Order: sequence, then C-alpha cells, then structure tokens
Amino acid sequence: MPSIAAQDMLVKELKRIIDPKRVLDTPEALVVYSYDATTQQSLPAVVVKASSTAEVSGVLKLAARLRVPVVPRGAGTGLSGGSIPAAGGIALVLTGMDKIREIDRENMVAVCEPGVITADLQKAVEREGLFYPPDPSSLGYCTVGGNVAENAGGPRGIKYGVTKDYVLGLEVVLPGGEVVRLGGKQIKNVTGYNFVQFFVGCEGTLGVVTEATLKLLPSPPARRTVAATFSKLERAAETVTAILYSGVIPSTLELMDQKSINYVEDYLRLGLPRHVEAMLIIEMDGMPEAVEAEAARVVAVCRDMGAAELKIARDSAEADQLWKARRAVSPAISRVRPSKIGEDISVPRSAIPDMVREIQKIEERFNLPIVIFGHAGDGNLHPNILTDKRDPQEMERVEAAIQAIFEAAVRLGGTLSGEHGIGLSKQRFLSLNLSPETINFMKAVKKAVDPAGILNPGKIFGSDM
Amino acid sequence: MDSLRDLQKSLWKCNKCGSCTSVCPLYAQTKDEALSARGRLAVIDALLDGGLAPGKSYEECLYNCILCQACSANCASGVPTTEIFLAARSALTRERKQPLAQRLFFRGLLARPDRLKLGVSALCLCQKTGLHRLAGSGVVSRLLPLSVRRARDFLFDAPLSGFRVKDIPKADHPRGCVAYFPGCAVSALMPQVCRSTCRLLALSGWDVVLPENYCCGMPHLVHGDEETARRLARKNITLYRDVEVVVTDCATCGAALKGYEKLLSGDSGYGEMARLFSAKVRDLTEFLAGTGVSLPAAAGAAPTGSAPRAPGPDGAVFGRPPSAGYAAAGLTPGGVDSSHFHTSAGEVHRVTYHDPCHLARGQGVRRQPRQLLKAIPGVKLVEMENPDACCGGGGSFLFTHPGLAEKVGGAKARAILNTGAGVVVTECPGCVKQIKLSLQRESGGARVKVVHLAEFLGSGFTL
Repeated sequence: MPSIAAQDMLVKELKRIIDPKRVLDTPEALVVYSYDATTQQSLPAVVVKASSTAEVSGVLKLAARLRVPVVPRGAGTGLSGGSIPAAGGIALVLTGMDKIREIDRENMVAVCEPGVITADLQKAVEREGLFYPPDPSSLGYCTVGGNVAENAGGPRGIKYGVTKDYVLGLEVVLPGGEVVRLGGKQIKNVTGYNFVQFFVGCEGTLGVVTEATLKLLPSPPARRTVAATFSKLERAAETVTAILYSGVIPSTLELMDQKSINYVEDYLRLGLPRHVEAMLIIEMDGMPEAVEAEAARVVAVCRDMGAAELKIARDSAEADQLWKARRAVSPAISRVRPSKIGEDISVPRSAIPDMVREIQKIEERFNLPIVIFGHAGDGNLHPNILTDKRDPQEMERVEAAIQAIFEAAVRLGGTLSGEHGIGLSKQRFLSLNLSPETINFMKAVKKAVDPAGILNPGKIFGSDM
Repeated sequence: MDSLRDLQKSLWKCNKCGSCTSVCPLYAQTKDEALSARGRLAVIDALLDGGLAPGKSYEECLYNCILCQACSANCASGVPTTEIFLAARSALTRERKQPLAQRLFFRGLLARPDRLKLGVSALCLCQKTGLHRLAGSGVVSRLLPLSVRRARDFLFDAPLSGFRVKDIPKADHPRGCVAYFPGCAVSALMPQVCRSTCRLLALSGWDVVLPENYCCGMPHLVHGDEETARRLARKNITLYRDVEVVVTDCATCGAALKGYEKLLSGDSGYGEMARLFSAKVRDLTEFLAGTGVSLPAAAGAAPTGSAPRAPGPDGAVFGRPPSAGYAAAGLTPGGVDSSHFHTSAGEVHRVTYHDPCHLARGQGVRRQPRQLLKAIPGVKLVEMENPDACCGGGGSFLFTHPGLAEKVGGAKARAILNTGAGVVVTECPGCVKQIKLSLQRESGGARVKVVHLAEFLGSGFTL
C-alpha cells in the first residue's frame, strides 16, 4: 500500500484521464475488487473501470510513469488468484467494455471486447447458427478477456480444444501503454511471430487484452447424451480410452467419482447408484446421422467394458436429466463444508486411474474429504478439498495435501493446472513442474515486455522476479 | 449487530464463485461488482471483521439492492443473501437514527392507518383540484429531482378515489368465510383491485370479512426498522386471530405475512400465534387455484348464448357439494369456471405474465397465476424471456434509485414488448406501476395494458 499522499496523487492523476465516476476509492469499492473465486483477498489502492482501449493505454502509461502495479480484472471468477491485486495498485476493471463488435458470418469469426460474458457471446453467435465451443463452468458469468488471459477450458476440451484454439487475433495494450494488434480473421497467418498465443494464458502479466477475434464453428444440429456407471474406477478410465480408440471423439466425456455421486445423491436424490466407483457422462454432437451412429458405438463399447448401468437420453429433456447430476456436483459439495478448494491437475489420460488412487491415499493420509470429478476425456481432473478456510490448523493439512497432489500429478507425467492458471495459488509449486532453465526463460521474457514490473506483479513466479 | 454477527457463519459459505452476478438485475445493467450479492457480502464481512467503518458509502452499498432474492434463489452454496442484507440494514438502523423524512413516512404515516387514509384523501384532493399538475408542468417538472418526479408518476398515473372497499359483495351460497388483507398500495392507489378481489371471492362462494388491517411491515423491514415491522405484525396477528384463512392480492404483503413466523420466532408471547397466522395466509391465486374459482362476465361484453349463471347451489363451479365448508374444501386443486367470462367470439388475445419477486421467489407461487390465466377463453398466455426477472420497482426502490430502477425496468419492458402481447398481467401493485412507467418509456407508441391479476380476473377485464 503506497503512502496516503501517493495514493491521493494517483487518484487525482487517474481522474484527470478517466471519468471521475469510474475512478473509485471508497473502502467498499476496494473490498469488492479485492477477490476472485479463490480464498485469497488483497485490496487495491484504487479501482478504475475502463471503457476503451485508449483509456486502458492511458492508465498503463500513467502507471508506468508512477511505477504503480496494475491488475487487469474481468468478472473476478478466476480460480488461481490471477485478478487479485496482490501488490495493491490499480484494479483495472474491464467489465464495462462489453460490446460484441462484430459477428462475421462469412468468415465465421466474432470480434468482441474483453468484458463480454462468455455465455452472452455463445448466445449471440448461436442466433447466427454459429458456435463458440469453449465452455468453462463459469460461462454464465465469466468474461472473454479473462478466458483469454487464463486460457480457460471446459468439458468440451476433448473434442473442441480450449480458448487458445479459438483466438485468431488480439488487440493488446502493453505495460508501457503501447497498443499492438496481433493476428486477425485469417485462419492461416505467418506474418511475424505467432504472438497471439503468447498472450493467451499470460494471466494478465504481459499485456491487457482489449479486443479478441475469435474463431467460430457451425452450430452442431444434433446432440446425444449417454451416462454409464462402473463398479470399478479403472474400468471407467479404460472405457474412456476404448471409446476414443473405437473412432468416436465425444464432445464431452465427464467423470464423477463415488464421493461426488454420493454428495449429489444426498443433495438432489436423483436415484444415482451409491455403490459404484465411477460414472461417465458422454455427449456426442454433430450431424444427426453421425451422432446416432456414434452414440450406438459408445453404448456398445460401454457394454463391452462391463458398464454396471447405461442410460441413453432420447431427447433434450432426458439429456438435461443426465447432466443434472454432473452440474449438481459443485453446489452439492459446496454445502458439505464451509469452504472447498478446487484443484485443477491435468494428467495423461492413461494415468487417470493411478491419479485417482493417489488422491484417495492423500485423502486418508491427511484426513480430509476430497471429491474428484472432471474432464476424463482430456485428463483434466478437479480434486476438490472440502474444508474450512477459517480453521488455520486444518488449512495447514490442506496445504500439505495440495502439495502431495501436485507431486503425484507431476510424477505421473501431469501438470499443475489444466485450465485455471498458476496465479497466486500455485506459484509455490512451479518448480515441481518446470525446470530452472524454463522458469528463467519465462522470467526473462516477462522482464523484456514489462521492465518496470508493473503489470500484475507477484503472479506465476511470486515476488522473486 | 448481534443478529448480523450470528449470520456471519452462513455468509462464509459464499465461495465467491460469482454466479450471483449472472442473475442480479442491477449487475446486468451496471456490471458493477459493488451491486452484486458477492460484493455486498464481502463488504458486510469486512465490516464485521472490523476492517471497514459503516459510513455513507457503506449505507449506499447496502441500499443499492432491490432485494429481488434472485441471488439467494440461485446460490449453489445456499447462502441466505437476502436475510443477511436485511439483517445488515437492521443493524445499521439500530446503530444510527433513521433520517427524519424516512421516519416520518414509514413510522408516522405507513404504520398508522388513520393517517394513511388522511394522506390518501389529501392526494385525491390534490388530483381533483388539479394541484398535482403543477408538478407536471414544464418548468417545475424540470426543477424536481428524478425521484420526486418518479413519485409523482407513481401516485398520479391513474385517477385516485381513496379507500373504497366498503360494500363487499355477498356470496350467494357461501362455502365459508375468508378474511381479506388489502395492502396499503392496492387500497390507496388501486381500490379497483380490492373490489375485484372481493368480487372474485364472493363469486367463488366465499363470504369476505375485512378487518381494518395495518401495513404488513415489509416497507419497515426493508428499511431496517425491524422493531416497527414486529409491532405491526403483532397487531395484524391479533386482528386476524379468529379467521381460518387470510387472502391477500399483494405479492409483497403475502411474503411479509408468511414471514411473520420467522420475524416473531423468538417472541415469547407471539411466536406460536405468528406460526399459526403465517400458516393460514394464502396469496389470492394460490387460494383460487386451490379451491376453485368462478370468473365474472366481462364488463360491457354482453354474454352470448345462455344467461349468466350464478356460481351455484348445484356445485357446478367446483364439482364439490355446496355444504362443504372451508375445512372440507381444503386446498385441493380446484376448477376454474369461466363460462361467464366473455371475450369477443373467436378472438385470441396474447397475454403475458410477470412474476413478482415476492410471489415467485418470496412465496414459490408461479404455477397458480398461469393456471388461472390459461383457463380464460380467448386468452393465450405467451411467456416473456425471464418472466421472474425483477421489474426494477422494488417498492420504494424506484423513488430512491430512479436511475437504476429505470435501467432494470427497461430490460423488463423490452422482454414484454418482444412477446407481442397486448396485456401484461402481474400480481403486485408495485410491479404494475413500475411496468407501466417502463413501458411508457420503452414502447415508442405500442400500447400494452398493464393489469393486476385480480382486476383482470375479477372485473371481467375487457380485452
């Protein structure tokens, strides 16, 4: 926190370039822009709500001159602390830049501002018969800018990839305030460095995205959902591979472990079998004929693999019923203990059963309930530790359990985060996963782009920059 | 502060996921985190932890909320947001005096039926003499703050006639007796709604009694004056002690009356009485859909074919023996007899329904109003997008926060206009007024009528 005089000057200078109504420093404003969806919190010195690229640029120029940290923020729904103003400074809120500038049907691209809510973009392009696949569970309230900054994924990753696979072009404001435009509507483009991807997943440490050009697909006309339960977890995991090997790439392939099934059952009483170790929810989408054929094959594979029970939705209402269980996992486990800490490891698909067994051992060792669900199709698992963040003794155990989970994931050839980012939450573990040379290279790049270290300092690499 | 501190544990259940922002009508319009439930909870938490002082901006933060309850209904972790916000307002009011103007209005006027009547008479006089037009004339109007202009529009958008629920029609062959609870807003500003409700009840075979009730207390509760709300609750509970069922046609009153149980749960004298009282409160649509209803003939529309039938001794209306009293009739699903309700032959009228917050989320009543509307011949119920999204009225919110109310109201008006319906029906006087104002601004000449459901059903509303 800067001195009061310095803060007053910062506010005064900001109000000179931004409408004073959008420069906030009441205690309440500082509190409400101090958090994201993690358990951490840190107050900014001032909040600025930007309404244009020029304003973003102006704020960064001023911040560079005054050497004040700037933390870009979308809807604050991130799960790694990326948008938390850890070093104080300016919380640069981009939710006001929420226009979809263009939906280009001929070239199948959308151009939008960073504050557009992901679900709003999806609905808007759907009205044009188009499809924007990335689907983080927070899609109803997270923003496109945040999705780009964190390279958000979602259940559809297995077939459709993640946010990075849809970003064709970006307008980015660099830490010095310069505005650069990278990529564009072209599918192929090798003019200059492929720096579009450089900024995707940069966690707001390299630049502020002020416009994104996103690739769209034709909207798939048909969907089919199948749910299968397995008495043994290994069988469920093997089934995932068998389905893919049979030639079908489902649009989603979700796994729920026994605990998540039971918590959902406690919560909604859907009649789920409590004794099975795993449930898979598999969805196919595409042309109706193809979807029918794929569904038939998936059902056959599940039978061959010895599924305990198999449910095939005949219409969208029945599909909703099947999805209800998966969607209820989060609310169901949120009610069990005061807090839940969701991790986001990603392992090679073949390592899923081993990873789940490892987590079960960790659960016993640290005596903490851990629920496992996630995107089995792409190896991205979300072990959720149910705890009480206000119990310091228990939180020590939680920290140790998290470390053990990461160690196991890395040992099995996995990575710390599939779709949430490193931010504040996982920086302590970075060296588990990346070599010193790799980390040094990343730091050198960060220093080259942001020599003053004003943009989202303290993230990914910690304070040791 | 203690009751708020008691709630801090449930506040901690908020894992700040942000999903409340996706249903908050104010966040949708402003994208302002301080208006979201998650934001307000964080501010209250900071206050309780001593990191924040309850200054002016804290008060603003607490009151920048319509209390539509969408966040609490949507919260995955089950955080009782609305309850926490009310407790925070109440704690603040206990700590600092309410502003004089507020105290005068809520305690001095709304909580005093005699003065309220006097006030309404004064308003009527104002309107009859044309005095109110003074506030509408060009220069004066421009000088008035938006909130006062809003209050003027709210009060004077239709001719006022004062309290007129004196001559209650009698049921021909009564099935039993119900007590009516007319809210302050309907009786002061829409007496035709009160008359319609009484008529509907009488036509459906109920004798109506009308104790001179007090304000339900909701306005006091939302402004942090729990003490006055409790006082009013005790008075109403005593007044309605001897009746078996209390029917109200105001969504807000219904929610307040059903909430007496909770409001007085710790009250040694009234706790049990409050529980019994709340259990006998029914929203009008809940009651009619449950016990059966006979709709009257449309005013002015001469019935074709047979002469109007009295809902009658043959029990044709409900398929239930006339001797069955209320207790026997119970609240089982009943029929709707609309044989007297005439619209021009063959015509289909598109009607849309807006769910008031205090009815849909406050009381869980969504099916019954639709069931009644669908039973009317010639009425085609067309659902608008998000019919249970708040209209932005929020009782006094539309005066205290006219700018925000206007934005939220605009979204509601556009959803209504998109249905192509000629009539929008709802069951809350505040919603009726707010939707009227919003449609006037948004419609650009399209005429959409806004009607209270009781009026629509009970007066044989001419389509």
